[in-house]
Amino acid sequence: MTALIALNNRSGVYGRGGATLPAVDAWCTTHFGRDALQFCQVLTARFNAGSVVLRAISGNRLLVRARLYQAGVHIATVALRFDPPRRQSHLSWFVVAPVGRRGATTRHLLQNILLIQRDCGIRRITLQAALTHGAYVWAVHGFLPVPNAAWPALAGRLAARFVAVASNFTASQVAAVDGLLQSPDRRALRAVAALALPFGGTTLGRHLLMGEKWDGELDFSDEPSALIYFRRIGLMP
Amino acid sequence: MTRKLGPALVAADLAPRRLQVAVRGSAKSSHRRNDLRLVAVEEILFAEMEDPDLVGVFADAEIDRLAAVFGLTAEEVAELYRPVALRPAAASGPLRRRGRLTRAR
Repeated sequence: MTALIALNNRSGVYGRGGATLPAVDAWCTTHFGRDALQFCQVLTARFNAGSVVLRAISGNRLLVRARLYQAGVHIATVALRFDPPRRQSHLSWFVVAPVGRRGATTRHLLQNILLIQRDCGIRRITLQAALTHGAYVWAVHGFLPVPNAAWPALAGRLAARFVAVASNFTASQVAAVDGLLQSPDRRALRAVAALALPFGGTTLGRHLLMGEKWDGELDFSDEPSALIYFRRIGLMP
Repeated sequence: MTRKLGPALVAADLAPRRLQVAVRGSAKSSHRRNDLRLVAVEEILFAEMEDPDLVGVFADAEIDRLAAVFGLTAEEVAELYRPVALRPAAASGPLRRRGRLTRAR
């Protein structure tokens, strides 16, 4: 049994229930500093309404699944896990409905989540970058492959993909890209994603990462990664 | 039996009564059906970045830092990270008007 909190931020009406609500309240008070309702208010800030399912599980972790509404329309669903003892959270599900396209839905939601992560003392976000654009998008959001040893395998796949298109570039460009792909430093992923050489109607960086999959992390103690993330979600110019 | 989402619900104002409908509609089958209509966040993130972000996805300072880490010369940086824009403004079409997220009143 889980706790359920439904909020209408426009009318101020809310409802909550579930046998585990006291446990969730206790978790929020302990780790977030406010109760479960306030937790949900932060999570759904700038959205008209939301329904949030919460469950405190072993290891002082909290599972959260939220559905967000804007103007009566379901606009996004997010599922994530907070693990304050390990100071990390895992973003396991994050989908935005088509109506949220070309809006600020994603940025606002990531900002809301970041506020909770800050108050819970979270220092690291993990996720799996996948699907069509995920490998590229999360790289330009400042995420890096984890563990470090995962980068060479990913670099090998990218190198194989680059070989197929290398004839479109000059020898010096090929040498520079090969150098990045042969680097043992996982930050080379970021350098690859940023490659702005036009290719196939997009950039080489995006082309190489399209359809790839990698486990990623964003460590807030890594200042360059954090700055990239803050800029990308609109917290910094 | 689950209620089929239709234009009436989409257009509905979010009164508390309707919110209850949304909450009650959280049966597994309903979730599955709704999720099929969703688009993965990566697609949305990419759409939100818009074309100008395709060139120069990082600030110049970050590019310079990467160049220092990987020993790229100024010429390589200019060649790899600062080419001309993919779609010059003069060649691009007029900007499409964006739809409203909220209903006009």
